[in-house]
Amino acid sequence: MHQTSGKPARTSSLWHPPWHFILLTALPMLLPGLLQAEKKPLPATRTEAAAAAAVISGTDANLPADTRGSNAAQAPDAGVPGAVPEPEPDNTAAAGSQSAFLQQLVQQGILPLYRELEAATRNLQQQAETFCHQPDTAGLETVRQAWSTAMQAWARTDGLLFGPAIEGQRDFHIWFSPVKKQIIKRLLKQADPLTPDTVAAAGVGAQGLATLEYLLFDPDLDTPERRTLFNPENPQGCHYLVAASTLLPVHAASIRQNWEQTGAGFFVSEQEALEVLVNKFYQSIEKVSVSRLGKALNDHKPYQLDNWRSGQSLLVIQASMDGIQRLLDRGGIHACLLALYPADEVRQFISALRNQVAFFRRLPIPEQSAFALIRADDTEALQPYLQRARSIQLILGIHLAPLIGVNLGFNDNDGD
Amino acid sequence: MHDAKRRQLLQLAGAGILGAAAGAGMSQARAANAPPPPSWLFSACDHPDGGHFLTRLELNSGTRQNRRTPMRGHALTALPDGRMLMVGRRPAFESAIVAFPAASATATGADAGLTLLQATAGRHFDGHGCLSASGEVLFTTENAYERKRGVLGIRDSRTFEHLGEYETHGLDPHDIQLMPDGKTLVIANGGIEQHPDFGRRKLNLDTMQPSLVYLDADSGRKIDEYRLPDHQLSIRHLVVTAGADVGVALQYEGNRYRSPPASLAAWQAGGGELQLLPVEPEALVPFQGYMADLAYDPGRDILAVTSPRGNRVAFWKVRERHFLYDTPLPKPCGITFLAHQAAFLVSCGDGSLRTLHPAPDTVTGRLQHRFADSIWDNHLLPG
Repeated sequence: MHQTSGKPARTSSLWHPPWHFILLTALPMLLPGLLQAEKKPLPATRTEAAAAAAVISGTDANLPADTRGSNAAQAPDAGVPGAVPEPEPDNTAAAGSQSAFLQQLVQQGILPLYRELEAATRNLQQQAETFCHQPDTAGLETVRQAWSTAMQAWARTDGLLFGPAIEGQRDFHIWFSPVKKQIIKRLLKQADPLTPDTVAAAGVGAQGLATLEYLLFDPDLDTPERRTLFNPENPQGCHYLVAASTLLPVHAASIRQNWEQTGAGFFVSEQEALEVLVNKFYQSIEKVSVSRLGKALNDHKPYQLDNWRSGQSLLVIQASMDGIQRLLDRGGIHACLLALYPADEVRQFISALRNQVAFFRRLPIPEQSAFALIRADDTEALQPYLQRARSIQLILGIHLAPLIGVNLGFNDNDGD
Repeated sequence: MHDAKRRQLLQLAGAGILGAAAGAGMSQARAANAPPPPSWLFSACDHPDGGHFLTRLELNSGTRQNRRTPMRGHALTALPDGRMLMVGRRPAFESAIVAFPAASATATGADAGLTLLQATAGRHFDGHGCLSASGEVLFTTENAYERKRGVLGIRDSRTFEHLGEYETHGLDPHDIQLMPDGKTLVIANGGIEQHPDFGRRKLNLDTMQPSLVYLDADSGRKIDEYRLPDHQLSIRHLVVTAGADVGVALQYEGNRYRSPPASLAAWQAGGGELQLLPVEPEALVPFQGYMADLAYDPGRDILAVTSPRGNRVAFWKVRERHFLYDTPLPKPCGITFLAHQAAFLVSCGDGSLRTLHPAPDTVTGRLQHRFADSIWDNHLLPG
């Protein structure tokens, strides 16, 4: 029995080791290689930690070779006309003032991702307009590629679903799934030419990237409607394509502008930024192990995959992980954590997190889509995605978050 | 509501006003003066590796029965026929009704019967329910999401026939309790707009208007309505005392870094105003904007509120409106007051169950049980 009064210390005997400490003990057994320690001894002081951040953010020799297939995720800014090349990451922020990290986070982490999204959606709009001047098979393929690039650019911002991204439900205007097929089909049958205004008025379920995926890839529209969907003699399909793609850069630009306006001042403190970001990263990764892949895989329900129509589920998942890694490295989160929490245990888990995210990003993309593999009950190639996602969840949620004073599970997805 | 169903409701509810003590059963344990020492404890919980359960625990021995359920549960209501209703965590389209085997049976959870209660069209459950005084009528808080209205679903508690609805006069009704008069329902309208198309996204944080609403259980007529000065303090969980006081645990939806709330707990003395319970700003910080469950010790006039985010339990001396202290516990979730022990029983995120004995200046604690495979949900119900 223990007595405490006033504001008792956290080390009271009322506090017994929570279950994640039990998992910690068993972790190396559960996840071989997860806690692979860095060979280089890590510094203990804040200054040394900042220097170590540069080492940790570099290429990791332990990572597997790039074994991605031909449809591997594109480089972040590749194929996006107008995309501004990003400067090399600057991991010195954590050694400076508090605002230095927040500045780096916004200027080098967050804003580049939204600028790429804006550029990719503008390119999609332009490709849609070009295609619809004279629809043909090659043009359709170009629009599909542009859609894929925009989809991946959006996925890279998946760890940023807070603040400007969700204000006014902007995110739902860019990605809302499942689409409202009845509304879309009704719009396609409408006599008056569809405009951005009419599509916007139909609601988020009939616009955005998921709706465009439906128009561009849905097998139900392949025959006989697909042949007529983008037919110049029946131009409503093209009107829809152009109208919906015209709306996208507007929403992407508004998020970018909002971030530019608020800048680092969006966050009151480093701790607030870390709390928000770690929560959002965790939710993004949890989506992989549950709604984006896990449920479809475990329940053999391929239609539960995101992006099943385009067959790009894994590419999009990879892109979401890519976005997280860029925020961790270029956004200075790793460096900030190392500076704020120089304990060996924290450093060990930061290193493990970085390795696991990098491993995930380099998982091979199978020739067949995840949708086809689950349908054929041939899911061996998909299991590593699930395993890695769960490993990252464990490191981030069970180990790292408590050590850096971040509470998970209480956010827009939790509560009560 | 159709006339026939209206008559049926009145018949069921009216029968109970005279027989409140027998019918209300365990669901009113919080309001009862001196309930008998409980033998059992019920709670929703999750397994660390996934899976949702309703657990029945024999308090003395620590023997458990876990019944797997298809949805994550939240609050519990003991039904008149001995079964337990576990209301689905919002937004849930179903709730679980579990019949545990007899106390003497050694059966495992797999033998426990499970029935699913479906939400009606255009509604989802919001996490809580309670019985009428007779125990014949079940009220559940629900979100009529297409109409953007909070409602109480009204069902026959034995057949679960849907008898109708009452408006809750606010969005996002969450907790609901029957007042000691057996005639009045008190409802926590959290004020947050949600729609299942958008998951658990909160759609109206700038305009949310939480309220504490009292309804006549027989007619649904609004008797009174109370609000707090800060519209982003979501009114979520309630405890009702035998003297008709109401304690409230709050969830702050503003940016606590920029404009921290003034408090996270409120109290309404019977018939009085709803008032925030004072606490110094620096003492409030560790709770991280959220209080979960709450319980009241009438003998010592102490309100205990759990803070899972802050890994603490906070205590107020209510009539003196005085914050006593907080004490650390690992992710404390559900809490109830055990009158026979003069102690609070708390369920924690590490699977433990602990008793806390508060005194004016100190609190003593004791570990009762621990189950490493149970992440307890926000509420527990002794029975």
